[in-house]
Amino acid sequence: MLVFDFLLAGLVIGGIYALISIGLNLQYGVARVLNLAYGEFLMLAGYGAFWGVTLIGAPPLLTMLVAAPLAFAASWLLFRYLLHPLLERSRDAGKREIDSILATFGLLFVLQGAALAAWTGTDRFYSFLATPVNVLGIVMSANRLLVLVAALLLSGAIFALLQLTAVGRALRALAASPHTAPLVGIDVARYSAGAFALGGALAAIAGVLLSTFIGINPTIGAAFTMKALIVVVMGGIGHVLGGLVAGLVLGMAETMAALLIDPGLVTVINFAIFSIVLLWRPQGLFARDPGTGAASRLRLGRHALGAIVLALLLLAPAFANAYWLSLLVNILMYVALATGWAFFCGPTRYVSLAASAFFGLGAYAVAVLAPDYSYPLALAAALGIASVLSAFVGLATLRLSGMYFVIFTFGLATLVREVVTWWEFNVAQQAGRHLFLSITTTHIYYQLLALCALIIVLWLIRDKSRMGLALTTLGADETVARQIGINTVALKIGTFVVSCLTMTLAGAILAPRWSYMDATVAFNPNTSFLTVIMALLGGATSVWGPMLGVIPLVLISDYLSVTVPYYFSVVLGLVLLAIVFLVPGGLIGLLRPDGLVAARERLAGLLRGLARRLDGRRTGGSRTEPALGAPAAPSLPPSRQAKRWLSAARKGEP
Amino acid sequence: MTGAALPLLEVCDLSRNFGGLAALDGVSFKVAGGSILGLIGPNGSGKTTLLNIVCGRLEASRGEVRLAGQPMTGRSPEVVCRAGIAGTFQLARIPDALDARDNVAVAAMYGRRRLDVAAARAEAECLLERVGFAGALSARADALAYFDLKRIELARALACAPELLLLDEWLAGLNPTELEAGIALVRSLKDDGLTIVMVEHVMHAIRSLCGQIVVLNAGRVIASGTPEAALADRDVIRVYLGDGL
Repeated sequence: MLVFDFLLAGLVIGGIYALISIGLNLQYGVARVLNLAYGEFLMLAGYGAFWGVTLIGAPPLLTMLVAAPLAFAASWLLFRYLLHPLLERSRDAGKREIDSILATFGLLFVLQGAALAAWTGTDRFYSFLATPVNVLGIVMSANRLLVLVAALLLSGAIFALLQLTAVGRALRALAASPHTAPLVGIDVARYSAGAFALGGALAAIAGVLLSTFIGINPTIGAAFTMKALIVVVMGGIGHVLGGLVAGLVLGMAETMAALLIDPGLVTVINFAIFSIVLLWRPQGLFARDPGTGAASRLRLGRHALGAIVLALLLLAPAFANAYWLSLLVNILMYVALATGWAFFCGPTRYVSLAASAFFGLGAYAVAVLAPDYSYPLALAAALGIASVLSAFVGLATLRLSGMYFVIFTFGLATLVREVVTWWEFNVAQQAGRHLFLSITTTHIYYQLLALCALIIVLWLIRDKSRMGLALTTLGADETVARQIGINTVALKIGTFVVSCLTMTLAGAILAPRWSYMDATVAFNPNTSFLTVIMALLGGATSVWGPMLGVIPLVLISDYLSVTVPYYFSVVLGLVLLAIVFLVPGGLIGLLRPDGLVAARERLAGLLRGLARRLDGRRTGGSRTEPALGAPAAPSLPPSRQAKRWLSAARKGEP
Repeated sequence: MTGAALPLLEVCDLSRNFGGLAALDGVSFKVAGGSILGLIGPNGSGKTTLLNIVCGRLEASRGEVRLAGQPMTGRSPEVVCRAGIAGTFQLARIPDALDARDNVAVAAMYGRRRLDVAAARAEAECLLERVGFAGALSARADALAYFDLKRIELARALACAPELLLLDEWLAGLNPTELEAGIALVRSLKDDGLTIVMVEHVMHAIRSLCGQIVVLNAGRVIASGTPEAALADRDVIRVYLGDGL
């Protein structure tokens, strides 16, 4: 009967997966926003339930009745006033996808950081219906039974809504063909917002249900977003029934894997299943709309500036004290990572979240091999493993693109981390490694400097050769690139391997900095996120761009992590949002003569759109153009400007 | 360049299914070196599918394509390009990440010739002049007129140094003056010894350029021969104008 117990436990968690995947499916399949902050609604609702019980003794089901409409309204507003303007801005589907990923990713950081700051990172439990009940001879707690029944009922209700009602038909039409839906009279903006909001409400309901039997903490949201994404992709985007089945299957597979194989390998198995599914049937799921863009126009011929900076950097250890040297090491580490990342991801526009995997491989190989053997051997081993792994991920770029590649690389990084953790625990029988190498910070500094110089020189050589043009063509339109005789397979894999080896070397060089290392340190996913954010902030299509993003963010993080640790993630999120909305080409775009003006116009355009929308609501959709001059007033900071605009629009002033 | 020579392009029994739909069904024809073959037929008759298979973008379900005797079917687009087939897209696809000159130059760097950057750019300038490109060399696609985009496309295809050039409705959407210029340009390419297969709806261009045409309908060849003969064919008239004539 033990197996049957586990089956039921699997059904409960599977029911939750199904529920959240349906919500995400509505958001991604219908509203076309891949909402990475989806799980944050779940997290917030879970907290709502916890505080409801703890502070005023409100039962979770009552909280659910409040939280669901609240989440619906919040999601609606989020879509109408933040995401929809972003989607409307670009006709290029690939660009839109990346924009929405980055914007919601920023939102994730903001919400998660705010929750951390407000409620700390501890797990919050409460007890609700924790009484055993007997179902068909199996004893389970009442709260889990409630969750299972509620999840299945809700999923069924949504399915019925989609299949049987006119609204459902419109939503399905929108999911199937967003371009033709308006031709048959479907109000795309309204139904998209509705679907997005419904998705948010489902996340909130799932959060309340979850909180009845597991602890809630600020990072729980991202974990469930990942799960929902896996289920959505497995079940098929836009297919609610597929998601329902895939959710239950995944839940059961997890519990069975924990029972039969090893609880420590659940995540590995999870991502393994997912990767196989993703690579196995990408055709129907992965339609890539190759983007065209202005971003790669930026080309800065400021080699002289680079030379001066390089000279100063070479001399730095002579006059910098320990603190500044360590700060410089931090900066160089991220310059190597971000430039290495952008070496491939900039021109080709694949967003890889696997930086932490390669960085960690380098660091861990040194930690394991260097003490017993030698540092060069450890380096060679790290490069060997990284070459194989990066060639494998490079092969994936032939099949996956857009957000699928993003998820795939994130999954891969998680998988690598979990495998190493599992190996250390079960095979090597230790939690981590102690590192005592006679390598000083100055050594590390010069090695990193050499690595940065290497990747930059490689980049400059590439851009001068025909390979640079080929890569730009490839990034803009792969079909055209192949048609004019470019071997895109070799080009992509070659560039990707170089990019990954740079990140591996960065890890290997940095390893001696830690005296103790375990997998969670070496393979910290934040390394991936920071790398991507920094490269995008600076501008990933130009060789000098990434470092332009690295420097301010490392300085900010250095300052904030000492003074107000939790707010770093909030700032990071806000920075990301600002990049997406104001400087899509990165900071390096601002250096162009018209860069600042363009960014200001973009801000003004967004505010104008917002004001018009609010205005339109008030006057019943009149199409009056607000005064054009006003929003460009540059003296006010953006937030105050926005406020002034909003209040002006509300009062009906020009 | 006489009919007795080995045909440059041979299409044998070519078929392609999309699910249950046979987009091409046993199409065969030959194109002699140095000639222009016109490929016509109603919308959906399989013309673009055929071109896509010839240049490697699509795989054939059955049949073979040979260039100067060498089998081309099943090769990837870049291999086909280097074997000597280049073409334009039905809708001009010029990435605006590169300027007009580099869009052409990159094809001269790859393609069949593998020129270095400086030589490729010089070649691109020559080719753009050759096709009558009137815009600035540093202009991006989003700032150029439609016909100029088509000209860049043609220059890019020529930069691959092909033996066989595929034109997919390259003359479509041009005004009468541009059309005459376009026809003259295509003719001059033929006079230089290039073999051309063109999909076209503009009958005037077909009549004045093509020595031979192949008429497709629902994936099958319904007529072929000189334009005069093939266009007078009863089946062709029925397909274009309907029954009862």
